[in-house]
Amino acid sequence: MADRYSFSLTTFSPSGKLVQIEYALNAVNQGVTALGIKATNGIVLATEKKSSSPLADPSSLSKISLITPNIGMVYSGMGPDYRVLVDRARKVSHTGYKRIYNEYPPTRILVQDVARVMQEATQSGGVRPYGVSLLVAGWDEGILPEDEEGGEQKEGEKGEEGEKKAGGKTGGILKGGPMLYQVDPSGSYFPWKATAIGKSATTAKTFLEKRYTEGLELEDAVHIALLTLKETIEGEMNGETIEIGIVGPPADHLLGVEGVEGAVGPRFRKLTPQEIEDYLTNL
Amino acid sequence: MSSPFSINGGAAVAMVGKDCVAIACDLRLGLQALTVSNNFPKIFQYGDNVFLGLTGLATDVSTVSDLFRYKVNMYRLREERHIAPKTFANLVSSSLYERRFGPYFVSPVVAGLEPKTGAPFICGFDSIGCIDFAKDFIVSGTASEQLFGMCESLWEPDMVYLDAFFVMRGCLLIMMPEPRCALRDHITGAPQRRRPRCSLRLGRPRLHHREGQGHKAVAEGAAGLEGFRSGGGHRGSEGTNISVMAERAIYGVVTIGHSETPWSRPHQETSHQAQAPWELWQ
Repeated sequence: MADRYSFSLTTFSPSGKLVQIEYALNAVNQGVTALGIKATNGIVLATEKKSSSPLADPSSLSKISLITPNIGMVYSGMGPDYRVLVDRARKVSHTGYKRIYNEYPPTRILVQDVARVMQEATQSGGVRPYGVSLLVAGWDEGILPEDEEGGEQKEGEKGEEGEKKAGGKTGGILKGGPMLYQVDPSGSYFPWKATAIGKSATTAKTFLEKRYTEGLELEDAVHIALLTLKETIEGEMNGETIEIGIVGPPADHLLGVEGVEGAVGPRFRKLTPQEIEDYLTNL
Repeated sequence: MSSPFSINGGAAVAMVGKDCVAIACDLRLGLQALTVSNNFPKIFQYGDNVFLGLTGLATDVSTVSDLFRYKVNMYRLREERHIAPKTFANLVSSSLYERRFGPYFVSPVVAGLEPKTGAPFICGFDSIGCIDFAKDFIVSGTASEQLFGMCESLWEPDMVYLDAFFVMRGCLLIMMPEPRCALRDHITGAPQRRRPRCSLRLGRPRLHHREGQGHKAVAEGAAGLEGFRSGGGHRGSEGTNISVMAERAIYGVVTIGHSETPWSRPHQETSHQAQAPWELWQ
């Protein structure tokens, strides 16, 4: 009976499930663990780079991708599906936004666009859902005046004794700041302070719950990300087997030009193997 | 004469002041020499301190203003925030260029204050969306030569709210068909004068031709009128009175976004100001 509802996705099972979506989630849950942590001044995305053979060249493998200068993405699940989604995300951020408004989409808008692509695969004929969950990390410029933001921050600090500096004060289209989203094969998406997807997601999330604190700095977040990864990782941990992407301060050295007025470097960048090694030695 | 840009007539001007922008247009709707209406506004508001002036073919003015109302409302629903003037200007540009080979016959002007910094922003466009960013002023429409003359002679950097208002008012009078005396006076007599109200007065007696319609227009009034009237007596009482308002109402709408008036009276907020971002305009 069950397999009668397994092939056409436009069909609900009598219990109200779309079982192909559940199978897609199973594919995700067999994937290599990826995690993301939001800090006050940035976000870290981290994952393990697992190669099937010692003969593979790890430098050619890349699981964390830049979508716009301020938004990056990592996945858990099926690599080829992810590549398609990265292409779509890059394309839609231009056709659906930059070519219209001459600015890059805020994180939520991009996430919604990618989520729409994933949802369409659950309702169209002749296709299967994407077998990936995504973690999308981005920085929004925001449109509220800076001083107002500062004032709010102060108020928040006073109200909650300085501990919850980041609580609700960072991220979002209005205030600006870091945002971290998870997108699932069904097309649903959730904002997170810190989360993990993939094989050891549950373990990793329990670990993150213990380690995560409000008002975290980016450097601490990278540290926690590596510690969490260490809990769940199967192979050796080094600069070649770990991949880290950060959303941080504008990286003007990546602009490729110098002395251009008003030019701001990308906030999203991937750490080099050397940088990862440096973090690992301090672990 | 048969250019679609000049059939209905009309002009708009926007300029930058200190922490403020001003945008103005005439209210005439014509059919060549025939005046069809004196209540056809060409300035549209699309957010807190985001204004669009549209001159050109009247049918396209309506179509394009409605199109942007739709687009901006959709933007606000999607993003749960108001559109910033720079973003809006780029939206105008890309929307017009979509019609590259069958353009709307309009010459838009955008004026606004950047929400993050409060910095004034103005720009103009050709009918296919090429943006003309300007630090000082933008003119468009059938009186653009006259407006250029006025702006070139009267505009100066860092004008405060009231000065900007008077310069705009001067600009409005100059583009009207009747008070040519004001044109003469400005071109020959008072290019350096900081406050052009005296010279502008020359035009006033002739303006009373349309008193009836003028007062009607006052009643239907433009946003910001009240704020100006209540501050009118500030610098001596010369020059500002209700008939000045009437002149303005007959011939144009001035809308000024600014953070603070020179007499530090809080800006009269439009009723839209308190709106939640996801509520729609108009």
